[in-house]
Amino acid sequence: MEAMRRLYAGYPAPEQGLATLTALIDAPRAWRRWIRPQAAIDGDFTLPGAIPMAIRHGLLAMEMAMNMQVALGERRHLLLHAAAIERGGKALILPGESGSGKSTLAALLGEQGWRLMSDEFVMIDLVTGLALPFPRPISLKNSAIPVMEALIADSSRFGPLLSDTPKGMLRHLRPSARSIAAMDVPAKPALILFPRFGDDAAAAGISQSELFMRMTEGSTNYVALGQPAFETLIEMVRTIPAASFSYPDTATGLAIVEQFCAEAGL
Amino acid sequence: MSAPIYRTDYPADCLTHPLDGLMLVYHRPSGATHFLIDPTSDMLAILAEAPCDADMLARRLCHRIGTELDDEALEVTAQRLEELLDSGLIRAA
Repeated sequence: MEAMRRLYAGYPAPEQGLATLTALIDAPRAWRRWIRPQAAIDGDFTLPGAIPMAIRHGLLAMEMAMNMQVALGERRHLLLHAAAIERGGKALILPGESGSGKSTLAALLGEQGWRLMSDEFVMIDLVTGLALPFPRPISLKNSAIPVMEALIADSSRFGPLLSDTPKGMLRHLRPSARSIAAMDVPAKPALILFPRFGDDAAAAGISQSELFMRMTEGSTNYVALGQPAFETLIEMVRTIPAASFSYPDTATGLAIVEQFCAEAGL
Repeated sequence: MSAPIYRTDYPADCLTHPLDGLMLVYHRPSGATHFLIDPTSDMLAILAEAPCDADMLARRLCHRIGTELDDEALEVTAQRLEELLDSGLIRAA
C-alpha cells in the first residue's frame, strides 16, 4: 500500500470521493496470507482461472486488478489496448500486445515533448471520436527500465523494482506531472502506428480493412458496445492514417515514429 | 423433401460499409461484425429481394454477375451458403 501511495502521489482524488470501480487483491485461500503468501486479483469484474501472484509482486497484482476492471467493465467509451501520446492537440495511438514496445516508446516520447495520455488503454469517445487520457503508471519491462532510469532524474517517480514477474523485470513509472494534470484533456486521434520491437527496421501502410480488423482485435469491449462501436471504428479507419513498423532498438523506433508523425502533420 | 428456402434480414437489420473491395457488415440482431467477400454480398442482396432455395439462388446470382451457371457456380454458392448460415446472416426454413 505504501508503494502504491508513493506511485500515485500527485494524482487528484476522485470527485466527491466517489469511486466508480472496485479493484482488490486478496489471498486466494486464508492460509495463503501466511504460507508462501499470494495475491489474487479481484474486483467488480473477475476472470475465472486467473493465477494468483506472489505477494512480493503485490503492486503488480494491484495494477493488473485495476486494468482488469477497466478492460472488462468499461462501457462508456470504445476501449483500445494501446498507448497514446499527444502533441499540438493531436494524438498518436500505438496499439500492440505486451512486448510490442508501445509502453517504452510512449514513455520515452512522454519525456521528449509529447504528453503521455496512456501506456495501456485508449478510450475513444463514441460521440466525438476523441481519445481520452488514462495516464496510469507505466509498466516498464526489462531493458526499458535502465533506459528510463537514465532519462528521468526524479527517482520518486519510479516504483520498486520487481524481479521474476511473469513478464520478467518490471518497474512502474509515474507519468509526468503535466500528463497527470491534463488527464481530462482529450485529443483528436491523427495517426495509428502498430509497433513491433525486435525486428529489423521496416514499415508498411495498413489498409482500412486490415486496420478495422486489428482495432477490433485490440479492443476488449467492441462487441459489448455494439453499433456505436462499429460506427466509431468505421469513422476512425476512414479518417485516420495507419501503418505498422518494426524496429531493432529504441533510437530507431523513435526516429521512425517521428518521421511518420512529420508526414501526418503531428 | 423439398430443398430449404433461405431468408435473410440483410440489409434491413444491418449496417454496411464498403472497405477495400469488401463489405463490412454489422448485424444488429446478433451484434456480430462480418467481412463479406464477393459474391456473398450479392447473394444476400438476392435473398433480400426474395427468399429462395440454393439452385434458384445460384441461377439468379449467375444472371446478376454475368457468369455461366455451371457446376463450379453451384459449388461456390453452396459453400457460401454454409458460411452465411454459420454466420447467422441467413436462416433456412
